[in-house]
Amino acid sequence: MVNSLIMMIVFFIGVLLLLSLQPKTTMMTLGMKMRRAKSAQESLAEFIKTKKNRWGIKQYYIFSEENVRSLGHRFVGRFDSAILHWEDSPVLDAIIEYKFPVKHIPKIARPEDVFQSGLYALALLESGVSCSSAKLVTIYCPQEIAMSCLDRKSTRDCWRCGSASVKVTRFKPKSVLKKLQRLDEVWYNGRVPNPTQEPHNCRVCPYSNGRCNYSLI
Amino acid sequence: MTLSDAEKGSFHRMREVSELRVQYQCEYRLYLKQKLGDVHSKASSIGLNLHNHVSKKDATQHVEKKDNLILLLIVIMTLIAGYLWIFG
Repeated sequence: MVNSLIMMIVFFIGVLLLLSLQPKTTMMTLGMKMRRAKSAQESLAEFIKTKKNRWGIKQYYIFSEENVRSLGHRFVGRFDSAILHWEDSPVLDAIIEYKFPVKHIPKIARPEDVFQSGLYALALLESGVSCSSAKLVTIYCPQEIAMSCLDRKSTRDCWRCGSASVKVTRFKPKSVLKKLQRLDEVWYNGRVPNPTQEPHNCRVCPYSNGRCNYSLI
Repeated sequence: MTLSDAEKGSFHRMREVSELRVQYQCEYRLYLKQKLGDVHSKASSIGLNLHNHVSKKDATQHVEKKDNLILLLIVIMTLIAGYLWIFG
């Protein structure tokens, strides 16, 4: 009786584990996707236009340093990494950006970093990639620690390095578009560019040291 | 990461994500960048080198996976447990 109960529990745990490893279930965490993803052997453009067979559908792929462009919003860029898989169409799971601050790791993801990742996701959305469950991942690691971590001959990913901080945000296309429209006014409607009101933006600005009249530091 | 004109190809007149990021931080900073030219701090150069290092590592690390073996073990364990539960 006890043995039967144990076997039943093991069976259900096994079923749950197998379900959690399926891309179509929502049980798989982002960390699991990042660990399971394998390097894509094709370019991102080829991946997007080539429908995968049954086996390919169950696989997550990681793309590194791929160019993306938005014809609708007239911008181009290159993301650090992105994880995608195929369902009925290509699906973006995450855009991953690495940031190496000199010292301090922010408590929450910096708005400009989230905006940057959002622009990459927006470009992919325009290319026909489903982004309904996409996450924007920003990995912060202080420069000194990142250097020592990467110099080690370990096979650990940068994001698993002890002092790295992983910030995850949901991709919200409307929010990115709203911010982009505000910036477009300067590019296309002749609005005068406004200086920032945030001192911390001046601290990292290379022009704040005597070259900018509006510096707050 | 900044793209060269060659990398942008026929889209060389388009804006760059890095420019939009700078503009989002401070619109006037982008104006100064366009007017005075780009300025790189030591920290930004180190950051760029680290980016390149991470990209190379990323490209080689995700090839070999042990997940298939783990998946197979889970399937076998589940089947045995299911068999013993029902017929045991």
